[in-house]
Formats: sequence, C-alpha cells, structure tokens
Amino acid sequence: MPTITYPLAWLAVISLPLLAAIYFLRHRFRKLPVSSLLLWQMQKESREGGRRFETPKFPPIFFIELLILALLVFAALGPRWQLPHTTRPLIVVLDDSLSMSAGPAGQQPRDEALKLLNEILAERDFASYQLIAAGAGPRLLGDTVPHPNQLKDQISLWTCSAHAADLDAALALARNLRKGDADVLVLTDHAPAESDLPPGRIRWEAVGKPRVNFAFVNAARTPHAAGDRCLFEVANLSASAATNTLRVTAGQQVVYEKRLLLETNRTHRVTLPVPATMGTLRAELGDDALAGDNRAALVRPRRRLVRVQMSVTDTNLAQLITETLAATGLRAPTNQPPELVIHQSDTLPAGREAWGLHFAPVPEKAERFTGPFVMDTTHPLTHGLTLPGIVWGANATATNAPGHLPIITAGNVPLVTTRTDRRGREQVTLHFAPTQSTVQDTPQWPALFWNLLHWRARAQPGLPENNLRLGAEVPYRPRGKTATLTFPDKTEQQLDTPSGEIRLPVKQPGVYTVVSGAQTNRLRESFAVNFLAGAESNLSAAVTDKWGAWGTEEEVRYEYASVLPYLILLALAGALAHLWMIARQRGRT
Amino acid sequence: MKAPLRQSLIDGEQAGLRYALCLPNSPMSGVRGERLGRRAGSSVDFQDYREYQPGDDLRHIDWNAYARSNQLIVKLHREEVQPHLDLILDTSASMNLPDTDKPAALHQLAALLATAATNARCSQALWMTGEGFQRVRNDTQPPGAWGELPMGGARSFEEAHGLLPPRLRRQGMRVIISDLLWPGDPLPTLRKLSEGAASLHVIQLLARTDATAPEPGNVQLQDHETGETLSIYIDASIRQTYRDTLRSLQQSWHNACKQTGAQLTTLIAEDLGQSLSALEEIQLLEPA
Repeated sequence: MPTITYPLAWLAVISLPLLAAIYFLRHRFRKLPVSSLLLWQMQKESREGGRRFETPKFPPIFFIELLILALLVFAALGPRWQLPHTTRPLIVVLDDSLSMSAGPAGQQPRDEALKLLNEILAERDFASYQLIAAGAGPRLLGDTVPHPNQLKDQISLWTCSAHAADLDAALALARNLRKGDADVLVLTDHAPAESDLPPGRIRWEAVGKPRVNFAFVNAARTPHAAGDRCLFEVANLSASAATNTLRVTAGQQVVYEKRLLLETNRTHRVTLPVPATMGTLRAELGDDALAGDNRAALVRPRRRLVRVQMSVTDTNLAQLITETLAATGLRAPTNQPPELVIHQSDTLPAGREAWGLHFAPVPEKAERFTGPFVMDTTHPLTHGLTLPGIVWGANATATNAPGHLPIITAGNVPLVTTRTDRRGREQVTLHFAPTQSTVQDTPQWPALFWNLLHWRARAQPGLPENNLRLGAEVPYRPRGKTATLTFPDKTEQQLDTPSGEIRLPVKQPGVYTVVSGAQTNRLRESFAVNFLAGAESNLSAAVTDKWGAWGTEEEVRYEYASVLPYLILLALAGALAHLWMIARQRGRT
Repeated sequence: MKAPLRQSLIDGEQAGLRYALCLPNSPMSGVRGERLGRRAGSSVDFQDYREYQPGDDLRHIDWNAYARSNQLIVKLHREEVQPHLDLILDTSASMNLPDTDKPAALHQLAALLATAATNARCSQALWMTGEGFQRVRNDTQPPGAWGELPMGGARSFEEAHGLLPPRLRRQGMRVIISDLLWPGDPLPTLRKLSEGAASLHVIQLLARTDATAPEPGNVQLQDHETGETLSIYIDASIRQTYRDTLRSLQQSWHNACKQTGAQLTTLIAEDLGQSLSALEEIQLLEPA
C-alpha cells in the first residue's frame, strides 16, 4: 500500500460518487413505449431466470472521466509508492589495477569478473547501468546506459593497468552519482578493508586467486662523482617461497644475473655501481603470474649542478661557504652566468636566472640563540634539518622585511627568510653571525646549503628526476613554450607549456623521451617510469569470496518513491482519450 | 370516442373527397350496380351466346339467329355490379401507441379510403381486430357516423385473423392498414387475405418512433401490446441493428406481397398528409 502524504485530500473522493450520481440521473432508464419488441428481438434477454434488477449502463466516456478523476484524487493524496526491486540503478566498480590481469589468459581475475558480471546482469534487471574503473583515482567509463548490452564498449576501456586501485574513492563517487540509491557491485581480487559493508547497497565480489609473483618494488639510480649507483629491489609477493631469475642488462651486455630463492614477502636488493656513461639499464625477472611488474629500467640520471658566484667580502665567511659548497658536490665548475649569487650587499644580484643568498649584516654584539627554533618544514630549504642543540648567532633586533617569508626563526627573530622577486627568482636572506654560532660546525650547515643548491637545481629547465615510479607526478620545465613527449611505444605527443612547468601525461611503465627548446638550444632528456607497486604486486592476499549484499525484496519494500508524475501522465492520457471519443461521437452524429 | 380521433375521421373524410378509389381492371363481383361484372347480367354490353334453357327470359332470345339456324339462342349481356371495398384495420394496441399520431392517422386513413370508395361508387365494409375480426358499426355510412373505433385490442392482427377471419366479399378490393409488427411469416396470412380478391393493398402505417431507433442512452422499452419490458443501453451499434431488423421485416413483407400479387406501401403517421401520393403510386387512389 502506498504512503499517503496529504490525507485531507481524501475529501476529494466525494467527487467520484458525485460524478456517478450526475451520470445516473442523466442516464437512468427512461420509459419508452414501443409498438412491439419484435424489432428488439436481438437485444431481448431471457426472462426465464425471473425478473432481474436492471442497472443503468453508462457510456464509455463516463468511465474515462471516472478514471481521470480517480487519478487526480490519488495524485492529490501525494502517494509514495514502494519501488520495485528492479527499478534501482546498478553501478559497477571495476578494479582497474594491474593485479586483475594476473594469471594465464582466460583465467585472469578480469575474465572471472566479466563472467560474474554477465551472470548478474542475466539474473536481474536494473533501471540503468554505470561503470566506474577504480585505478589510482576513480574514472567513469562512459555514460549511464539503460540496457546492459550497451556496456560492451565501456568494458573494452577496462584495461587493468593501473598501479593502484582506490576502491574507496570509486565507492564514494558511486554514492555521489545516485545519492546512495543505486546498487553497487564491486569487482576486484581482494577483500574489502572493512568486512562490515553498508547493508543493502554494496555487493563486494572478489575473484582473485593467490599466485606466485616476483616483482620489482624499488629501483633507483643516483649519480656519484665516479659513476652511478643503481639499486634494484626484488620481492617475493607470493603466499609461499619461490624462485626466480633476476637479469640486469645494459644494451647487449649482461651486468648482473642471479637465480633468486626467496621466502614469502622477503626482498632481495642488488646494488650495482656503474659508470656514469653507461646507458639505460634494464632489469628483468622470469615469467610469473603478473608480467607487468617483471621489468624495470633505469636511465642515466642528469647531473644537476648549479653555477654559483661568490660575492662575499668577509674572507672567513667566504672560505666557509666555499668549502661548504664543495662538500655538497652540486656546484658547477664554470664561470658562465651564475644561477646563484652569494653576497652581502643590499642590492639584488644581476642576471635573469640568478637567485640570491644574502648574508644580512650582523652587529658585533649579536645575540646567541639556542632555541627553540621554528622551521617551515615544508620548505625545500629545511628538508632534513634538525636544529636542537645548536647555537645560532644573529641580530636580535632584526625584523622580517615586508614580502619576506620566514623559514627559520628564533622566537620572533628571523634567521632565514625568502622572497620571490618580480622575475620569479628566489632571494634568500640569512641572518647569521659566524663568530657567535655553532651551526657551521654541525651537519646542518652543509645540509642547508645542499637544500639551497638542490632547490635551485630543481628550478632548472628539464626533469627534476629521471627514474620515477608509475603513478608519481612527472613535473617538467621546458625550454620554450612547447615540448614533445615520446612514449615507450614510440608515439609522440605535442605539449603546450604556457605556465612554465607542466605535468607529463605518464600512464604506463617504460622509457620516455621529452624534447623542448629551439634547434640551437635543445633540451632532450629520457626518463624511465617503472611499475614499483609492492602492494599491487602482492598476490598472496588475492581471494575469491563475497561480502555484502543488495537489499532483499522485503527490505526494498520499505523504500518509497513518489509516483505523482506517472499519475499526472495517466490522467493526461485519459483526457486525450476522452477528447478523441467525444470528437468521434460528434463526427458520427 | 375521443375528440381528436373524431376530428381525424372528419379530416380524413374531407381529404377523401378529392380522391376516388382506383378500381382494378379485372372484372369484379358485387351487388347490382354501375360497373361491369364478371358474370352475365342485364347491361347493354354483349357478352356471349348460348342455347336457350327453360326459365330464360324470352326477351333475350336472338330471333335473327333462330331464323338462320332454327335453334333458340339466348344472347347474354354483361352484368352490372357495384364494386366493393373491404377495409381491414389493425386496431390492436400497437396501433394505439401513445404520444404518436398513429391512431389518428389510422382513423384519418380509414375515413379517407372510405370516402374515396364512395366517390368511386363502391360499397364498403370496415373490419377491425379484436377477439377475431369484427365489423365496424355503421360502416356503410359516411365516416362521421361510424361511431367509436375501439382501439387497443389485446390480440394481434395475426391472432385475430386466426380466431375469426373477416367475411370478405369475393372479387372485392381489400385494403389492410396495419403496422405489420407481429412475428411470424406474413405469407400465410396474406394468402388467405388475397384469396378471391380483385386486388389487395397493404398499407404499413408506422409512427416515426417505429421507423427510427431511439436516441442513445438507457431506455426501458415497453411493448404496448403485451406489456413486456426490455431495459437496454442504446448505442450506435444497437441503433444500426434496429434499422437492419426493420428493413429485414419490411423486406419479408415485400416478398410476401410479391408472391400474392399485393401492393405494399409504408406510411409514417406523422407525415400522412405528405404521403398520400404513395397511395396513388400503388394505384389505390386517383383524383376524383
């Protein structure tokens, strides 16, 4: 039975007997004497059963009017009718991560999930269908469709190549799409994080199987003075001990090869010192359940050095800084236009790309600050710094100049501040009295300079890093306004870079090349993107099971929805039929 | 007799003054009159010769023939008769349908035909239904003297004919006025009525409500003759069925008339004044 919103509207029901009374009075049997019933023989009814009560017969338009009136009265009541089970939409959340393609073709979780999806679609009808691919972020595979046959094109977009599956975000999107009214089906290869799913809405179907899988979980190549140091970390992400072969090559040359025997969830690290001139190193594991995580590549990293100009008049301080710069190993041995000017003057350094490190003048009697020091730990300059236990001498009367951002302070006294000038250059101010400080005697001092040079180096055109994980952002500062990105499959894409720095569209592992700049000043860099997702490669937790269920028929009965539009539409259709019948009768007469 | 019906008789009599009964070409029988009969008589029109037989009027012996053949030959002449009209009226209840001009039209038509018969020097007899057919009193007199025509007999035309048929004169003209609304095959009744008749005319007199189906709606029909009722919702299809049934009934009468040599016409009571030409078409009336 429907729920009535406006019970007082029942009063309108009186219009129904009123209409019937009007018709009864108009259409009651009028007596008509006739010469003979001979001509009515066809309609004459048998009287053998005795006299029967004659009821007036009404024309068809009476019943249409009665129906229209009843529909309008019913609509006025504001009924909220129970929704049949099949009128709920279905949203399918598909795990788009690489682990869904584990195993031989035809037996992969993706195949099992498709089979299960087809069975569910054959069992039940839904009002509409929507697919969401849960990769690193949720992604709609297409528009909502009214029929399951229309899902075929969308399913072909389900590639299962993502390095992660954010199912929680996908579920949140599904809830937002239909305001929680839809039945949600999750097709994945693992169990939900919480076994208590919201009742009546989410059906979680895991179709994975534990399989033997080795995977690269880490790969890095760092430059050193003599050469590069390469790291490969391999993990056995199976449910049991297993063996595999690791092979590292550089072109045709085999750099490393070893048969690995690893217990479950154990890793094996290989550190390879290679010459800086050596090209791309490619590491490969033997065949296992998941092929996508069996390869890693490390390209030659670009050495980013900073051209530094010393303009410090204090010889002791200049010597200290020079030694510190040398310790960082990031100073370029060149006299070309500087990228960083270290000075003590109040004027800004010349040069379009010259950042500045200004040592503020310090009075002879500087204050010795022992803390507490306040640091902006998110700033690149403070990366890895810990200041407790040090003494920092500075001008106690110094104040933060307008436009300067304090990075390190001792109470309200600024020690390190930065300011971005109109050309976009960073100007760092250091309030530092060497004679009153112990900072320069601690590792924090070279660390501070390393941070400064590293920060400056990252602002140079090109890539900040050359070996990255799949899923990580790849920022790029091009030379010029455009860049050309070459994908691992050798396809190219032109990129516009109006804002100076862009994020390269990297979706798959492999070695990429990006080129920018004019012909005479071209910047060409390669970078490797590796599938290094241990959580995703871990097939030991893959499982086939089911959690949660959609609402049963009884539960669904408690879900009511307004049927007012349908009643109004029916009434309008009745009115049209009424008009048509009246016009037809007039035509006959 | 109700005043309107008396007025109808007078109206019919006045209308009948303009007409004369159209006599049939075939020889007729009757009392001595002015029209040639089918038998030998005393007119001046020669009919035949035959041998003399005792008892024959000696004035009719053809002496010239006796001189030539020495045999007594009697000369026969056509008889002269007065034609006769038997007007058979259906005065059952169905002809007395209230709120219609049917009874008035019956009176008017009977008076008209009787007057037309007088104009044609015909004798006349009026028969009406009741418990069998009965003669109307003073029917040989002008219509104004007929007195009351009792309407509303419980017997139908066919039943009355079965109980006591009218004693119709041989070789006379016969005119039936009825609505013809009774069940059964009309042919047997028509055969009996046409037997020995010089001519037979059937006038179907219907009220307009008989000829056209009632308007759509709920109707309780009451048979005015039997009192039987029928409650029915009339719509377009039932109206069409009614029209088809009436047409079928008229067709069966038409066929029966064809087989018995009778003439059939249908008149609407409410349109009687404009329908008299139909009686001329079936050669029942002619201008006087």
